[in-house]
Amino acid sequence: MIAVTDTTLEIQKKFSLMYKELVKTFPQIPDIQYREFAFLFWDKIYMIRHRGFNNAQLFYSELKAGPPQHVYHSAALYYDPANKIMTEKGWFGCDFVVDIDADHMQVPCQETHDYFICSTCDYVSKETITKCPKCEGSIRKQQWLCDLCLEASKKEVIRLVEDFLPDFGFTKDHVKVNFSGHRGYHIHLQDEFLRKMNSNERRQIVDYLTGTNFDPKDCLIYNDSNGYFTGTSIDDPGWKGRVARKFLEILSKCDSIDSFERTYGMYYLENKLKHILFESDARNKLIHQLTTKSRFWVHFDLTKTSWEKIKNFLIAASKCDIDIPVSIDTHRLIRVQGSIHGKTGFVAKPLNYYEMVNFNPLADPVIFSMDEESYMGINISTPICPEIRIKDQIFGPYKKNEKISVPEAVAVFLICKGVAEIS
Amino acid sequence: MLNYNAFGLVYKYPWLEGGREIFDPPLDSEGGEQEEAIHYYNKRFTNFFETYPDLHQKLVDVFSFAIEKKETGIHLTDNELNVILFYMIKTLLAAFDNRILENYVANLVSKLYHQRFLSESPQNLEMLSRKMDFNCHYEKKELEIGNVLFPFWVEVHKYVPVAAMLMDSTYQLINRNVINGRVYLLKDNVARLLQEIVRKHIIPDHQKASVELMEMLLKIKSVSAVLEVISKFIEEKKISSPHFETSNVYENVVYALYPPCIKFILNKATNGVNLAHSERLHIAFFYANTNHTVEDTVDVFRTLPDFDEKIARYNVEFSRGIGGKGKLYSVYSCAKLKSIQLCKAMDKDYGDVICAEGVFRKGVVGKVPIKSPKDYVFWKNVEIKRNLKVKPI
Repeated sequence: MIAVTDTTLEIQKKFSLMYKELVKTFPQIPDIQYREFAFLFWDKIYMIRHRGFNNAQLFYSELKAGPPQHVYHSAALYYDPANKIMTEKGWFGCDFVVDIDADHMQVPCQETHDYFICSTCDYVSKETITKCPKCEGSIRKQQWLCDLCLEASKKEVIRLVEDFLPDFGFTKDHVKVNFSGHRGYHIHLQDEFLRKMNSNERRQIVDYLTGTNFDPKDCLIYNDSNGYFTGTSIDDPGWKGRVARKFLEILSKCDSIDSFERTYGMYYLENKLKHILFESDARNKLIHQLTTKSRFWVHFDLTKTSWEKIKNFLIAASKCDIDIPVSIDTHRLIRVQGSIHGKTGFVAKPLNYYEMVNFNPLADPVIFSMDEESYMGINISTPICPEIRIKDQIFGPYKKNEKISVPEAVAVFLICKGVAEIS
Repeated sequence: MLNYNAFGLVYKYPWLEGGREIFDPPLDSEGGEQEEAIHYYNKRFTNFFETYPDLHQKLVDVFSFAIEKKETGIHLTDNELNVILFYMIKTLLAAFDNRILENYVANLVSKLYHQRFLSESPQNLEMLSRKMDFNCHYEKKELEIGNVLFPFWVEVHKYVPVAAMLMDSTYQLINRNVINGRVYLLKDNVARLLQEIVRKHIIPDHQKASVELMEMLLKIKSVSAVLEVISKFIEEKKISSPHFETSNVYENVVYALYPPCIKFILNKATNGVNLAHSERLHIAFFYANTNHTVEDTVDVFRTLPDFDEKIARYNVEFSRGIGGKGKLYSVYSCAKLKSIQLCKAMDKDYGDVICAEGVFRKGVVGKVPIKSPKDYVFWKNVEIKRNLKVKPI
């Protein structure tokens, strides 16, 4: 059990009132009677699992009665979802879910707003630490969100839908996207054939998205006899074409090491190779070879080892950054669309692809009030509280013990993030 | 134009619709009174062996060649005998209930059919694939990709389940030409994929009771004679499921034999860094399948910041089949480890040439990649023993 404080009680009350409103227009959960539900309540450290609901009304009653901090349902479908023994649930399918989340991506803004903080002495570190170097106290990771990381997640979803899914014959209309309520998006594909796939089969799709095990035998190989690198053509299908197109895109966009660092700096490439590719005549030659759809990429300053490194770099830059285990797992629990995220107070919003493109994740899922009459007094309880934009206003940064009065939505956000308490 | 009549096709490819009925027609169609199973099968199987005197030798050849890993010398017929042979092989495999034997035999038989597929016309291959629910399409106007003409395509959802059964990375979806939901294939590729479907057809359904089946078959004189010969082969070659592979290599696995992926995770754990779920599972499964005790495994997790002895012990025991499903989980394969980004073959601190480049194996040109961390243990052991043989100067 977790000690129930005034702050927790207040937040529970706010969630309960909000759920009473939300259930009136709660998005339909497909195949609700076949899904396992799980709840994480404010006063418990463990999850209440193996719940099943024959209809949406029963589920709504549960939401209103004991408003959970987090609520999940299984991506899997079971004949007996409430059975506590997994093997007796009667698995008969599982949605294919792709989780794209800034948590799993290399986004530079993380360095500016994510911290490791000692729960005992408030020691703050930007480096990953597991024990406080000052007092050996336990460490908690304080993850934040900003426009940059949310934009990076969205761009990755767009890349998935526009660049990868067409290979499988999926159109944009196929895709259902849920904003997670925090730093990412869940993309649901509910096609019958994907639902029936086992983990091994799902791994084929996941490897395709992540570039894992990409090893064509007939190309992307160096020919020792003539110094040619047998590349691929931008017109080639699948990953072969993807790699060529990425190479052309990078060479076209970057005419200096600086411009490369700005756009693709998160992918490792040796300095020597950066110099050859972006600041020598190799760049124009290679652009010419790629645009003329040549399958031979030739530049004699690039050795066999250099080409191997460029190949690995191109694969890394072409892949889709997804949370792999989510898509492979056939029993995964996924946040319920339309529910409130307990770490932000934002709603996990279901969207179609076109809505997602114009979605503002720091405004559109804000459900608590921003009105003047909703202002609440809160006390900052953490040594570092970075700034946050909610709707079109920026709040913070704040210091520890600072007493502030902010709109309800902001207060709920800061409390859910664990950086503030009701004063 | 297809050159098969209804029987011609099923005689050649016995798993197709109607094949099972030739071997084992529904009881009521015989017209007689229902007999006890043993009498019925005694009559039926004895009749097979009398009608086809070759059947005994053919069965013995299939099993002995499979065990000896010989691939030539067996000829499939195009008549009823081929159907009977196919289903007799399945029946005997079900009775032996020996996974290694099943794999050996399924490999051999499916390879024989692979040769058949290659000799078929593209149109026949297309028709066969449809009858095998693979639904491959043949286009006279082949698709040209990089100077190669691809005459076949199959939808991704039909391709993936078959490709997932293959270890060969060239068949992984990522290494294929995938366009708009279609995977483009050469004739060889189609034959190889159909071979894998045949392989699956041969592996018996393990839900059925093998002991009772074996008891019944032993009472049938003609069949028991075959069983006796095959049993001798199994005995001679020590193909005793399920411990054949494990031998004693895995009974004394020390740190030096640990694969890079395990060493990497252990290093994290000893430094008190929290492990990801998949990392914990990999340690638990690897330790469960080598010589480590529950205590050894729990001790790995003891240094983690979120260590809870009760939870750790429960999970470690679960991975060993103590409680829960009663199932011993096997070690993650290298393919899975790559997928979940736990493969450390190329890691600058822990990488190893066995993982990165593979190993030389008898009868194979070039290095063959290892498939599992247990393979690494085996080959590292070989490498260490070889090095020990070199006398110091």
